[in-house]
Amino acid sequence: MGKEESPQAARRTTRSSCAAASNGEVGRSTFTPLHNPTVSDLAFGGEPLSSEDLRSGFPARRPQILELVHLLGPPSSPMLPLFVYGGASTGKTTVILQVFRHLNRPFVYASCRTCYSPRILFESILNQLLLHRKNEASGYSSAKRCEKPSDFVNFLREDVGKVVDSLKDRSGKRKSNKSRKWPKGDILYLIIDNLELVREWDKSSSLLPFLFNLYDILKLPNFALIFVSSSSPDTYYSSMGYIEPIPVFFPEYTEEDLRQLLIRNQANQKLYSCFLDIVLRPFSRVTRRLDELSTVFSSLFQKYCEPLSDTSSFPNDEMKRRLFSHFRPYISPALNEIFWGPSQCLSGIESGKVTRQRGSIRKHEDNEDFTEIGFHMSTAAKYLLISAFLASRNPATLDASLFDSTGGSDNRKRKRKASEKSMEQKETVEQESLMKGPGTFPLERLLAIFQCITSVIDVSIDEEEHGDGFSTDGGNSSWLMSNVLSQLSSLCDANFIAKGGSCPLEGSTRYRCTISEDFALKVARSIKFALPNYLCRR
Amino acid sequence: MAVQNHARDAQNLLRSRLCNPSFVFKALSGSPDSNYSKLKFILSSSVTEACNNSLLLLGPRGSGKTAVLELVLNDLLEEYPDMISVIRLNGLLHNDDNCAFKEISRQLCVEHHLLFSKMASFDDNSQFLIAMLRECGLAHKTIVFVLEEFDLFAQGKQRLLYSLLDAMQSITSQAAVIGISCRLDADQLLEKRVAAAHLTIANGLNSSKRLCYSIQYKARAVSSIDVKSGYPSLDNFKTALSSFRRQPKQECIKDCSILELYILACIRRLESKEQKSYNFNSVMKEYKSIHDQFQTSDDYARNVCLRAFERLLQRDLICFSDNRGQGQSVEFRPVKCLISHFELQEGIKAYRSCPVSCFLHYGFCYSGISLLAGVS
Repeated sequence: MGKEESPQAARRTTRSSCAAASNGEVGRSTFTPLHNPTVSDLAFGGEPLSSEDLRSGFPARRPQILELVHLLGPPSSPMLPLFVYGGASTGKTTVILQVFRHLNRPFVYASCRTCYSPRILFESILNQLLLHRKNEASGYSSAKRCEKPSDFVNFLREDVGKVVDSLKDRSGKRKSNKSRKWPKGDILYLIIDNLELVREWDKSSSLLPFLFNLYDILKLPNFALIFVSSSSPDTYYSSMGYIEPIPVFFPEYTEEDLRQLLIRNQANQKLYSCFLDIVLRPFSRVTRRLDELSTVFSSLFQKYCEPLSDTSSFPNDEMKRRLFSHFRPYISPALNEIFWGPSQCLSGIESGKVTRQRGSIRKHEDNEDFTEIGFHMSTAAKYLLISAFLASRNPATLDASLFDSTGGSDNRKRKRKASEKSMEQKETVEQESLMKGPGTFPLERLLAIFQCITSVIDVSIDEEEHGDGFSTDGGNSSWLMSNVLSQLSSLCDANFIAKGGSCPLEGSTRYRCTISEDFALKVARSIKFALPNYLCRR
Repeated sequence: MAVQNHARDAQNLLRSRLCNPSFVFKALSGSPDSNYSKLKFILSSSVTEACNNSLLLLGPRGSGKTAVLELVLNDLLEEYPDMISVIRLNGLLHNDDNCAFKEISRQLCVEHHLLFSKMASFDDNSQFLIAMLRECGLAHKTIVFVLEEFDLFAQGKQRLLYSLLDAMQSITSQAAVIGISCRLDADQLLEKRVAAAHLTIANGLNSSKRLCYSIQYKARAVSSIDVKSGYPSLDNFKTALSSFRRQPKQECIKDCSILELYILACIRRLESKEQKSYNFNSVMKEYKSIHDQFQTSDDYARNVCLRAFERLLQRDLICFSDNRGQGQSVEFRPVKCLISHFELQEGIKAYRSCPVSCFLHYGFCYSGISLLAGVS
């Protein structure tokens, strides 16, 4: 989101001036830190933001901004904990940070995405409070080592006290030049972002109640807490209760809001709004998230503007119709590839254009119109993958009949009219297959199928594929085994084969093949292997 | 202008009072029958008459147990300076015995201006505690142990509780142990040997039950006072009330896109067909069948639907019903719906221009299908 990135960059520059000149590396002299961190760094820094700028910067968020400003209240007035929640990319973090920039209050910010364990979270907060920066001289260590919540609470009490004292100290002397940049008030706010990620941590059952009760435990008058999360507070189940924080909800943007937001920062707004007239409604039926829509629209807009020689002109009706008719074929494929990168979408359409026959656009059924797999796999790996797919797909009892000496290609059963009961059975079996997913198989079964398949392959392979080191005479079996096992581990790494549960009786691990049938067919086609003959059709 | 300043000051005062728990409960401390006076009587008797007391305060969250205790302790500290030292432990933080003893030693050292060593072992700390209890007993000083979230201390082996209560019984000491808990059956959690060192229970803190919520409500209303008028208006209270009457699932549904609502409707249909468990593949099958049957314009490819499915998982409208799967991918893991049929219906009705409502009932054939084709 381009427009919302610049305030973030402004926040970074306050502290990066410190990091720019590192505080004295060993062996290099004459480096003095450009900037000694003081308590004023706890405010947002940068240019101050007026309230009109704040409101105009976030056109769709006026009620939320108003609510937040009211709840934060005047400087030095205490506040109960807040819980800000809303969908992803609805602007929660940005709005809060900009509100703090506008109000110029001191705050400490920690995100549970960058601080991915309790220890890192605690230490990051304490580092900010102690105005400590990690530098090479100290080996990038934190100011204090803190792993347990009890230590965190003790350190927090001391450090918040120190910070508040220095805030009160300087606010007495108002005549200094820096009074404009000095944070207002003597209440320190702690913002914890991405709280929903804490639920997946190991110690979440004790950490979440601790965080929610932090305000009550500390009982510090000059301390306030703000939680930001993308899931609502009732999804935080805990066996312990806590006093619920005050909720502030950020709803998703409506279509008009989206239109307003997307038009900002565009060079030619009228042209863009004609574009949005066409695409916004169908695309917002699929997703309403701003980040996804803006990515898709940026590439589509380039496509839309292609026939225009001058992109800064205002299109009249006739031009609009021309643009629309040029653009229309791209809309529905783009809808089906909305979550892919823009280059893939457009290149797929391009290649579709190239293979156009008789003036009809090729339909993109499965959003992969390449008939080949997009990367190189050695022949042994391909055979192994197909064996794994067969092992997962077919029940083990059919192996003997499928892989007998006739190669399993002829249909032994005589065609009989399917009876009612067998139809029902087929349906239940199909239902089960939808539900269960691919089955697991032990390593021995995989190798057995692999050997069966490779023993009947066509001898006339090109030399290029011989170069893969694939021996067809099956002579040196131990060499074949080692190659196969290493291929198996690389297939596992690529997540084509996953480890399923282990059999409790034998204790050996079982594997599961996770590729889709389309992909398996593609792989089989590339080595000219008749896969459908081996699939057990239900 | 002066009015605004006064209004602002008034607002500040109200806010600081609302955020300060001891202020709220001070008013209740007047009557002789209240918890405040009972507590005060017990604690002051343990100070003056040099006896040991142990006490358990129970009551729902937000009913002011800690606040009342703090008031009592403050008053006692004023009345008997230098005769009481208070050690505060919290079950959330000091669950571990090592941690608890370390914290006790640390607080004792701070109180009595001794040097505290972080490297002291568990045995050192416990011996220090016993020694301090003895010394304070001889000097006629009372140590008050406040154990918040008492029920968390009662998990596991209850070593801390046992050693504390045991120490109090065996040596010449003046100590009081006060446990605070929200679990009304906290006394039943105690092991026999711990419960044998008896505890008196003060249970009557139900009067100010949901005070915390009313405080929050008032804080919300106060915060939105318009400073110009200087008085809280009815609108302030109404907005505060509406923030407490949120319906989070409805908000979630309003935030969904139409494709996500389609998937929810498919799940609903599968449930009404009495399928016990379903996963993404079965949902896709249902989705395709809807489109085959009704020829809607919202037929999207599988990967788009998979992404919408994942968004629903993120919003906590559906969740996986197995524990961590067994390396299965998202398409095969069974899910369950976390929103009731009624809520879903209400949400879809409130959603503007949503074509999904006619698909919610399996077998219901909507005759006005042509409307849908023209919607997009």
